[in-house]
Amino acid sequence: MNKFFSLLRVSMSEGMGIFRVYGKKQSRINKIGLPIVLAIMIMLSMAGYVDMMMEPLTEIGMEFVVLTLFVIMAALFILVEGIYKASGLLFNCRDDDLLLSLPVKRSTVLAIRIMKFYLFETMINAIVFVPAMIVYAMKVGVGASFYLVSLTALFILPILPIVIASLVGGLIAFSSARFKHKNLVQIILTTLVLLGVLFVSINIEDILQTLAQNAKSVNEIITKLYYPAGQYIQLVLDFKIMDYLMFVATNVGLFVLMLLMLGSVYYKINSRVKIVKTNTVSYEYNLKINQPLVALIKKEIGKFISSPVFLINAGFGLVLFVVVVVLACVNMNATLDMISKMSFEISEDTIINYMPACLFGLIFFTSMMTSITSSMISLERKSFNVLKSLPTNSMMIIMAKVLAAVLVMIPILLIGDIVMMVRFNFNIWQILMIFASSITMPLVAELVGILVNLKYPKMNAQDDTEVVKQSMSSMVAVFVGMGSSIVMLYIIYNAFRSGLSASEIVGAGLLFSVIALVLLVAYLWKRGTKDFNSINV
Amino acid sequence: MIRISNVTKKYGDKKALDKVSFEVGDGEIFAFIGHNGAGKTTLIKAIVGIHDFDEGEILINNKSIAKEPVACKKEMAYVPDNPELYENMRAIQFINFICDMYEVDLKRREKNIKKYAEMFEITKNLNDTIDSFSHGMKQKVALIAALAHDPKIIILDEPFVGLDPKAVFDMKELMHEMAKDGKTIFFSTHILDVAEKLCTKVAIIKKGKIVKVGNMKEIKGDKSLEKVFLELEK
Repeated sequence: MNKFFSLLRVSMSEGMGIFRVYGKKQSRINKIGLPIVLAIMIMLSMAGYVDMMMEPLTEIGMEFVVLTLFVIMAALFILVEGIYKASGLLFNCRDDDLLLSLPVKRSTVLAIRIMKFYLFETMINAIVFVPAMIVYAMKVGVGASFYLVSLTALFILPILPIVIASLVGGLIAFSSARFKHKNLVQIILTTLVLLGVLFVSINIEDILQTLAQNAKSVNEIITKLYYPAGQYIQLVLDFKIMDYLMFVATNVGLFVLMLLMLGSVYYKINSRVKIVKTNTVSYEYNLKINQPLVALIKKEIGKFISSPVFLINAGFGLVLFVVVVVLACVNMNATLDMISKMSFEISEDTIINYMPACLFGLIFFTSMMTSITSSMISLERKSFNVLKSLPTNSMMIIMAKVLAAVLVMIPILLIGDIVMMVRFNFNIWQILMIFASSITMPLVAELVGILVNLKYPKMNAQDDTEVVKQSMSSMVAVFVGMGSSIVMLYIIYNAFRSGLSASEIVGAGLLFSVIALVLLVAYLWKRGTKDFNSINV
Repeated sequence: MIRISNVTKKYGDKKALDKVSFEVGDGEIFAFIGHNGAGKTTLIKAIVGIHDFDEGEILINNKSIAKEPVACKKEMAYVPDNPELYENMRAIQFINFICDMYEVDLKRREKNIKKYAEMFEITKNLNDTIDSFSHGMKQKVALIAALAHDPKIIILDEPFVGLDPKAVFDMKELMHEMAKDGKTIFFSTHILDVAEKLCTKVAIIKKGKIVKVGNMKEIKGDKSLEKVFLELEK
């Protein structure tokens, strides 16, 4: 048992080294304090949201609806996050050789991985679920049974999404291993599954709306749709010891069943995932000469499309852009209906007139949330020395990364622009300004990303996941992206309220992005080479 | 020619290199030896322009690596001790990428890639992705990429680690051949037998300071290089 816990501790600390910044000794406060402060901030925001929702529900005595909503929200989040993470946390792990050479049973190694996966997802569950639980307890005045049931639920509710995520993740890993370009197949399969979950989530919105209006009956529907949520709510409303035992037994039983199922096939899948298909047919190759800058850009794009975690993480904003554009064009009536229901009191004609401003907001949001360059320096890891030894100046290497990122983004944005322009009849100035924004905004976002990554490189990461999902650089880029998007959308909305036309709003936004671009280029020119050269691996 | 004059490199208060000076001439095979952590890789990374240094000067064919890094790098090739290459690339893509960066013309890259791929018996693996390669195979790919642009100076950090016996033999023959052509070969190693038989000059580094440098015969006298090295380490 000691071996199990010491291996689990090592494994968890490796995965939790979120704020390890390369080259700097960090204090205990940085190591433990920052993630805790971040989690508390998110939980406080969640609590504020719950409190806001509770008010109308208290009037009709349906407070428990909040718990139902947050249980489902946590489950969906764990499901998406879990499918995405399963391939890295459960299969094809880098520490396979080390762990399997140690004098521990294979089943122990599997148990450690599942436990690590479970603990990560339980933390996510806690961040979403605990604020709802506390606000509910404060507002409603609950008995001891509520705390017992909710604390149990905290650990039990992640089980079903974890089981589904592990099975889907295993299936994706197993299926993609058959192919030579397994990374590409894995990217396609994961994207399809995530889009499927997204599609179902969008459709579930109708059910959730009905839930708010007719909570009691819909709670029964939810019980049928998502059994653990129904069980939990039932226990909160009417605690019976037999129901409680049933709640624990069914979920724990499910977990045991997953362990048995996965245990029997895990190493078969894992060894299959590790097989690298080699080329046994063609020894022929064609050499093509590229200019150094072109060669560097090709290298960066090659890295981007060959890393599932990098592509999915950075590319998801672009996928959402495409989804929103398609929704706006194909099913505009439903979209207008949805916007008008959001009580902005805006007529459908006004929305259509202001579509260029909406599109500018969407381009801004998509660009700022697609920060590809915020991981590009760190992803070099030890091969960074290869780059530094090349006979080219550092600025060319930096610019190649920025250009590679914008070359991925700009064509998608431009295609989306054209579709929207045709659908909503933009005038010539609006067309030109939107096109210009679709070029300047990705440049601004990627320059911010590269500057952040030069400031916070993480060159000692074990794998791409650690860089893309757990590095200071990618987190700072996400926060900068989210913060600036919220500010920009707020400004656009107020500009609209103050009577500015769509063209004026887009023009002002474009001017802002051009100024930001000039300032960022000037700053990069001043600092870029120095920061690049100061990174030592 | 590589000329190193009073190079000092500090990590905080600790001196990783302390006034290191020596010269490696054209046509020489120069071994750089020292125990783990003595400063070998730090100096090599300073020579090839990966790390800056605090004091002193490094000249590559009379050009300063600090002042003209791009011009210096064009004349050199560097193979690191642990070749961390771009794993997503096919071997041929990686070699071609390096050739692009050195702006090697098509005829020369075709000729050199064919020659070295055959020498290291890797031709049939050139279309495989690097992540499928063993350490030795990666080392071979790094060597081919380094040699494909006909560098005048070759810097190798532990070049024989991970190579199979045939590749080690071919590598040694190649080093002799290149030295005969007037090229400069500078490498670090822990394999003292190889250094003794292969090299014309040697430098021994201890705690960031050069404790012996000179012709192989002068350094070792009647003793073996291993014995000289171990005596200095005491």
